Amino acid sequence: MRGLRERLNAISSAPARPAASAADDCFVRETRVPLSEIGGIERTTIAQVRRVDPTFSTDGWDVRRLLFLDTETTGLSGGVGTVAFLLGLGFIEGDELIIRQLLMRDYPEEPLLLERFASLLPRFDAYVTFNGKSFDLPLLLSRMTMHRMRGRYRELPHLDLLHPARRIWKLRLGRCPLSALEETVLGEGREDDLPGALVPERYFSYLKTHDFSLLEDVLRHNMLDIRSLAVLLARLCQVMDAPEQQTFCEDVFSAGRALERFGYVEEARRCYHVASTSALSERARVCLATSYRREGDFARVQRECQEMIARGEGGVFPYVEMAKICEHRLRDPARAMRYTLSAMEYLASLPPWKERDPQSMEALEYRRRRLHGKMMQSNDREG
Amino acid sequence: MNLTQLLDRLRHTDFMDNVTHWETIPAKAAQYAPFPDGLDARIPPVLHARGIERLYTHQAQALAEAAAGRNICVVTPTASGKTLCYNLPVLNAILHNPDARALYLFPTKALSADQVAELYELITALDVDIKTYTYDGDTPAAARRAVRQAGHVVVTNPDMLHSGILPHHTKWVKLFENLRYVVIDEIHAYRGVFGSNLANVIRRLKRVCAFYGSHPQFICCSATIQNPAELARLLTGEAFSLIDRSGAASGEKHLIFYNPPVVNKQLGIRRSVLQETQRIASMLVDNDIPTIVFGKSRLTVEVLTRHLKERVKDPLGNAGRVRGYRGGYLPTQRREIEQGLRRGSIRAVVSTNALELGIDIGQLDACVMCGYPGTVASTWQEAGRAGRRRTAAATILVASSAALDQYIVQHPEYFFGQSPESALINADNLYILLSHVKCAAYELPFEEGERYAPGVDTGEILEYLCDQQILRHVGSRYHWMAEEFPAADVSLRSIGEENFLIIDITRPEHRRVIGEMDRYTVPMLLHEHAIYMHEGQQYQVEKLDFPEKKAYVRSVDVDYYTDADLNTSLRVLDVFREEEGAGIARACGEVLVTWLVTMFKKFKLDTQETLGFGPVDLPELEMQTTACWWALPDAAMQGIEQDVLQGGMLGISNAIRQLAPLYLMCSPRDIAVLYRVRDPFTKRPTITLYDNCAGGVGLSEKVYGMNLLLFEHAREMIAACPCEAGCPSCVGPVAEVGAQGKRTALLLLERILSA
Repeated sequence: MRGLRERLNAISSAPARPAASAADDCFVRETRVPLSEIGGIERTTIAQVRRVDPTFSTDGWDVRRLLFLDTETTGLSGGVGTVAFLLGLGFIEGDELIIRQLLMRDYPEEPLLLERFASLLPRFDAYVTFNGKSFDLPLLLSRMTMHRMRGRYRELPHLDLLHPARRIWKLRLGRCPLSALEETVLGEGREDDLPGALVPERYFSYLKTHDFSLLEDVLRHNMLDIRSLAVLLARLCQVMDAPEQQTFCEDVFSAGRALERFGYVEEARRCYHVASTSALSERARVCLATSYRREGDFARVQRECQEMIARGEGGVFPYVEMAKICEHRLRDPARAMRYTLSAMEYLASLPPWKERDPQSMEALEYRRRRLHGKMMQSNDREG
Repeated sequence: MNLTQLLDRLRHTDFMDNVTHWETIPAKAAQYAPFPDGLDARIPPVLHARGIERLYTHQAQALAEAAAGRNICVVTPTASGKTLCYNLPVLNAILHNPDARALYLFPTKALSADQVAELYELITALDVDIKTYTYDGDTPAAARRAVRQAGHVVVTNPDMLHSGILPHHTKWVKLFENLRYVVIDEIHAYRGVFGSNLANVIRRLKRVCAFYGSHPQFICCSATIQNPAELARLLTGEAFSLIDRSGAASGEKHLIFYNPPVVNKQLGIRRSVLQETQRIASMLVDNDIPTIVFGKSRLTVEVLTRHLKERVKDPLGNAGRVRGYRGGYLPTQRREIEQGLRRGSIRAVVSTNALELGIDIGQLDACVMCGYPGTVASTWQEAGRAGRRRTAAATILVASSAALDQYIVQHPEYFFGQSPESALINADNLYILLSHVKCAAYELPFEEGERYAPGVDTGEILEYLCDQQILRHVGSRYHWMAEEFPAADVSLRSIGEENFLIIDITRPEHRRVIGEMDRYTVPMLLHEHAIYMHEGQQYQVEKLDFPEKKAYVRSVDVDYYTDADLNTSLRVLDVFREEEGAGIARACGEVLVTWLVTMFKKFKLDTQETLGFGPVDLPELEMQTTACWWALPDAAMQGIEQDVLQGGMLGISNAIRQLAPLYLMCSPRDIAVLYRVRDPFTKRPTITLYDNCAGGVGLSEKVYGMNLLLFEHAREMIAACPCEAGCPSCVGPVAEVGAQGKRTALLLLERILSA
């Protein structure tokens, strides 16, 4: 292996021009990263992965049969004229993550690149990408169709980390490109990284000048992307394993939302509890109350709502919930009426520019009239 | 009174004083043919259930020719069961082989919606698993995947094929591998720029099909034009069998030419075409005869709609029996009007040529044209809107004072002797060609030696694109080497698709979009303070936000309308060819035309008198096109004063503007004529004719090739005109060209032609 490393180093430190393209293969570069740098990727389990993406299904689970994949392309239009000129592939072998990059040094090498990709596929059970479901893999299928290799493409279970990552970190970070995640979540900011938007132009410049050094930034960028994919997967698994232990309350809360959606109600509530002691208290309590209501645990709904009312949180929500409970569960129309009126008062007190749902006022008015009727009836009976 | 009674009565009134010609086309019986042998046995029972016992001869012929593997071009009148001519071969093919696919192209979304509905009914009745999908800009993203994978019949428009399907052909593998038929309906709509673009889209389509190993047959349908089979060939690059003998029945038809009476003999001024159209349309509407009125401009349509609505208004002010219809109304509103017409709840519609195309509005009894539509083909097409299988129908053409209109109504033998115009396209127009070669190169790399189209020097264009660093020639191929998506930069239609929204802010809390308008028309009709009319209702434009492409209007009720003055200027960019003749120098080349609206006028609604003026402050619009220009020699000007010269040149320009469409076989809208007493480019008095669309379609080049033919005919026409000093039928009214305009024009022409 040392021999290969040396050769690779030689390439990366080589002067501008690489060895002339041998017409029977594309350019290949391999980088090895010790697994110790990948945050425990080798220990991830299928149970963890299912929490990250419940739509992911696979027969057997073997972390060593995952193919991490990312492309660099000549454009983002997604039409058939866009070419994936660099294909980064990552997989675990021994105690290393092997990053194998396939680069076409000019258009005639594209079928060779695709050929190498296709012949690797039988070794893997699943793709791991970032936005690969809608971009990278359809693009590769399109390229293979263009080269009459459509039959060599393999549909595999696909773990696209874009949505899982958004679920956890969007609340805190706003946008979630891989680079932002690296810097703030994985703690591995890149220095002198080539912005993705400049990649196509860089490649065209290389084609025009044959100055290989122009591509070094692109290769590095892509290599780091593959590495980050693996780190990100490990990180997502850890978050979903111990969601309530995250540093940021936004992440805890977001993980809770995701877990609840996927049916892990207990874990979700633990997250909401943690978040309810933070700046997200209001949203967490609303979620908590809603989650209890879904299960018919009205005592707990009541507790959360009263807590919110006491803290002046949750807007109109706790009043409306209390009104419902008092009316239908506790059969106490008078108390329900008090909550309904408070809710209406709250809505009316909002400043005029504050957006409000016109329906909620209508619904409250409807409830008020019904409660009024009920109260009159019970007065009649009592009278 | 019904129509026949009304026509009988008109024959005995002073209406006839103004009728220059009354043509009666006798009724025709149907000709049938049995269901042919090759037809799938499941089809006849379904047709029987829909009241079709036998096929018309043209439908049977279409089936037979298609089955024999030929491309067919079907030309039959409206309501002759044209759609079966393509639906039957397509359904038959898919029933025979469920993998077979078909692609339907319609020029507009509205048409495709109609046709899908009809095909869908047939398929439902057949009770088979044939999937028909519309794929256009309105198709939800979630449904697109299903269309691509499973659609047997994909219905779309050229624009979507160009930018939504071909550049993504790897997602349409099933369609392209199995494409049996390509149906192109309403091919007569594809003339000029639009047609030249479509021809190139079809070249790209065939190239992609060849890649996937399919060679589809084409079925084209056309309204009556002179050269349907030729147009089909030019659009597709294939040979066609022409099917143009309709077997369908038709009722008696009357075609009446009506020339409004002269009100000022000396000035040659006739009563306004608008008022006469109003009068005749009112008469039909009063008798509750289902009527369509065609106006040439949006403004005409709105003024007529308003008038007719007033006429039929019930005591509560409802006038829904009369509706306007034109581009710029929202799709839902248009669908509602079409449906109302089919059901008969709408009795009269006033439309621009938007309803000329085969949108299904059922058949009406009467058609009134406010002015000659410009071409023989359009006239027949619009007249075809009135006509039923069994009862009589009438079309009344009301002539305007324009020379072309006057010529047509005064020479009916010319109109009836004339075959309809040819539809011209120029698929090899370099401007258009280059755009599509780029798109084609994006879709599939060109091989060395590959020919994009016969007669096109593909290699040269590809090398040019390499020089532009858009393509990369490496190995034996030309690869796309740019980030851009070329189809996005090419609009198939001459007028940009970027429409402005018209927003009604009469009730600020209830803003609503009432229509849209293309950017070339906006400065004319939606400048601030303009009165914009929509379905007869007046709105005043309060604010035009040009960058945001929005016009804010407020409903008003005023007794005037507005019309804007357009300043056109022209700059020569390149000279292709030139010839210094003895009398006149002519040249053709590339020009940049710019338009600027500087002011608008207010006209009283009923009398059309001018009430006032106002300024317009808007950016100018530009168009690059081809032009032909003639520079007059100094000798011709000898002894003619500057202002007199101006009248003479205007006179010649007017005559040429009116004559040229007859010789170019184009619509008057397709060209424009300008004159300048001292042209900044030639430095001499110059008359310029240019193609009125971006890039040009070869009309100017054709005029250049005619040498002085147009000038000779202009001299004949002016000399033969009986007016004293100019009238709208020759050089234009005296008020426009001056007292000496006619004499000067003739003098100039004499000098030019005798030199």
